[in-house]
Formats: sequence, structure tokens, C-alpha cells
Amino acid sequence: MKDRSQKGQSLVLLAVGFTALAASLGLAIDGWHWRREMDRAQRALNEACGYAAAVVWQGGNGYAAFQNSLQANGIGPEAYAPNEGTGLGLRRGYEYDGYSRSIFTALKSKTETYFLQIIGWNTLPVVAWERCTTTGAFVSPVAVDILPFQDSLDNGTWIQVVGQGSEARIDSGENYRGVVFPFIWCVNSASDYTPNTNCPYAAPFWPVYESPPSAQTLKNLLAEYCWAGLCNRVFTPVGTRLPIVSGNSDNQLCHAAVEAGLIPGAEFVAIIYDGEVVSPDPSYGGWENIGVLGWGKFRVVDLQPSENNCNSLVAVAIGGVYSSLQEIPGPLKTREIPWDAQGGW
Amino acid sequence: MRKKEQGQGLVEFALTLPIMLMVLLGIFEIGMLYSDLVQANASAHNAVHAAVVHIVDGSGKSCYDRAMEALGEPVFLMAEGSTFTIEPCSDDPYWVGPMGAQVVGTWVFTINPVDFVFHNNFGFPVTVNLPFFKGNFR
Repeated sequence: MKDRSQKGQSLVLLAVGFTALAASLGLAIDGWHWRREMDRAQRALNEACGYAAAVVWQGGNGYAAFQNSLQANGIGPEAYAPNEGTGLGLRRGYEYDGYSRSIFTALKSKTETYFLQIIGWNTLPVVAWERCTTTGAFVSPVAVDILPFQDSLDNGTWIQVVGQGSEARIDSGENYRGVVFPFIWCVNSASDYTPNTNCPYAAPFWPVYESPPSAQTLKNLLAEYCWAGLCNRVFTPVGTRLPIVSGNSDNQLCHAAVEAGLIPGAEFVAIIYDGEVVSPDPSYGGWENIGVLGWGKFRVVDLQPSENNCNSLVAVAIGGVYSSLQEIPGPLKTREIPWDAQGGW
Repeated sequence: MRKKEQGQGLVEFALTLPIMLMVLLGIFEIGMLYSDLVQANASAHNAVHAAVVHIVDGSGKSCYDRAMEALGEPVFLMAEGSTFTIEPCSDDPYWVGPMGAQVVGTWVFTINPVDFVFHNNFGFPVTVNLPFFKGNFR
């Protein structure tokens, strides 16, 4: 039999039980919400960092790209501005010194709580860090003959990849006839991408829209953008026929390479071909072309006569011939690297 | 124990049980909803990322193929009829995304609670049509 003091006991237990349950629910919701905000921030930062690095590589405004990308994913300026800390100590913002091969990015903001406010905990911190390379593999718009490439690879011979009298480029004569880049393929037709040495259809890839593209369009693209990442968007498989783009001077190409950051010690990737330039039958037009054997990796040895006014890019082969994208060591595009990565990043 | 107090605990239990069940179901369903949103965001990010770094390599795989591979098969606990779209991202294996152009990954699904409390209450079922993630070709 309950005495007077036991009356309402279950009500008290119920109240205590409900409070505990509500507290658990509140904590779970706040925890979930906080975790979701952390994930959202990190994913948005991953993309913003990679995109900003790609824009820097192209010579554009990396910070504007960083801002736009974050805002597209709902991250407000309070999370990334003003900068807080610097270098490895960066805790908020965007840091690029203008010459390094990586950028630092960080987000720091707060998210409001729902239930933790009851105990005076109004906000929880939301943080994210990401560091990205501002270069990929420097895919070059130059085709290199397999024989000097192999000699360089086997014996460490220095070869001129761009420059007068080079045995490594398409033409060994005094006048440089042209370069290739992966954005036009010689194929059968617009609906059949089978390689064709007569080049009946010069298939254009973005940013080339016209077929055949004008010589000026190609020259501009090669000189202004190709070294700096544009050529990393199409990987020409073995057997692809690439037309020669005439009219680019050694000086123009070498300058473009230097502006893209291709200094002595830097590595780049070039197309390797069998040394034969095929001229189409006269009835098909004038797209002389080469056949892709694969890709080779080089290290820049020297820019002659000087880095500021070069017309010769001297390099040594360090790897290849790679016949697929997966074989090329390191990704071709800007990418995330560890926050404290060493080795010239 | 007096006669009128007999069964008091049972009555109290009966009164509180529906409330307790509602709270528990609420926790359960909020958890499932949260799980769906997290998976939608994560999978959309993976797909968009695969699209923006896509390289035409003659393998026959398009931007769309690679995005769908990266998307995976997220299991949505409360969502029905889920569809994912990614724009622009062609299924032409020779298509290259314009550098810098924005790519949007969008999930469309219907949140449909399984219990009688939430179903047809609180605005459920509701169709979610959200651009979960945006990236830029690079």
C-alpha cells in the first residue's frame, strides 16, 4: 500500500525520464547538425581549393575562383575572410604567394546549436583545411621523336624539345614547321573517330569549336594556354593522328612554357611519335599529321639563351613511353596534397 | 492499496506510451532523414568532382559515365524514386567540359515517412529537388 510520500512517484520518474530522453535527442540533433556542417564545409573547400589552383595555373585570379566556388556551395564570406594565420598556421582564408606551387585554404566559422543553447552552448566551431597544387603535369603541345627520346631516357642525353635544329621535334630543318596539341584529332568523320592519316575530318575539342580551326586560333591557344593546363583535358590514346599546327615560333612556345612556370627542374609530359610526318593525299587537304606512340616524361635542364628570352627548351627524358593515362606518374590536374607536404610544394 | 488506486500505473503507462513512441519514432525518422541528406550530399560531391576532373582519354567513357561511377548507389532510407542529374556533363565520350564552367549535381527524391504520425502530417511526403553540390571544370 502506498503511503502519502509515495504518491506522484511515477510522475516524477516520468518527468525525469522525459527530460533525459529530450536531452539525448537534443544532443543527437545538435551533434548530427554539427557533423553535417563540418562535412559540407570540407567538401566545399576541397572543390574551391582545386578550382582556385587550376585558375592560378591558367594565370587567372585564384581568389575570385575560390570565393565563387565556395559561395556556389552556400559558404558565406564570414567563413573565409579575413585571413587568420599564415602558411601552415593558416586557420581561415586563402593564401598564395604568387610563385609557390601550392595554395593554402581554410574555413573557420560557427554553427548555431538548437538544444545545447539550454545549457548556454550557443555555437559549435566549423573548420576545414585544404592545400592544393597549382600545377599538374605540364602537358606540352610538342611531339617528340621516339629515337632521341629513347636515347635520352637510356643515356641521359639532353635534347632540345623546342628550338632550332632539334632532332627531337617534328622537323629537324632550320624552320620550325609546327607543333601538335591534343585538341584536334584526324579522324574519319564527325560520327566516326577512327584515326585517319588523310585527315578527312579534323575533330575539334573544347576550346576549339570550328573544324578546321583557323591557324590563328590554334596559335593563340598553344602559346597562351596549352602549357598551363589547357592540354590536360584530353589524353590522346595510342594510334591517334594529330595534325601539325604550323606558325608557332620557338620563341613564342618557349615564352609560353616559362610563363606557365616551366623552369629548370620542372617536369613535363610530351607526346611521343614515331618520327614520321604523313602528308594526306592531295584531294583531302593539307593536314600533315603524326601518329601518337604514347607519352613521355621530361625534366627541364635549361632554357637558352636565357630564361627571360628563350628560344630553346632543353630537357632530359625521365620516364615513358606511357601508353595510358593511368601509367603517367602523378595526376595531370591540380589536386589536393597533404597540409604539411614537403619537397618544393 | 485502496481499491481506487489499483491499476493506476497501468493507466499512466498507457497514457505515456503513445507519446514515448512518437518521440522514439521521431528520433528514428530524423536519423533516417539526416542519413539521406548526408548520403545525397556526399554522393553528389563525388559525382561532381569526377566530372570536373574528367579527361577525354579515348577509353569510351564519358563525363557522365565517370560521374555515375563516382556517384555509386547510395541507399536512401526514407526517400523514394530518387534520380540524380548532373549538368553540364555529356554522355558523348569525346565531349570536353569547358574550363571553369559550373557543374551542378542535383538529387530529386520524395521523403516519405514510414509511420502514421509523420506520414500525411507535418507536410509529408515532400519532394526534395536540391542542387546538392556545385563544382567547376578544371
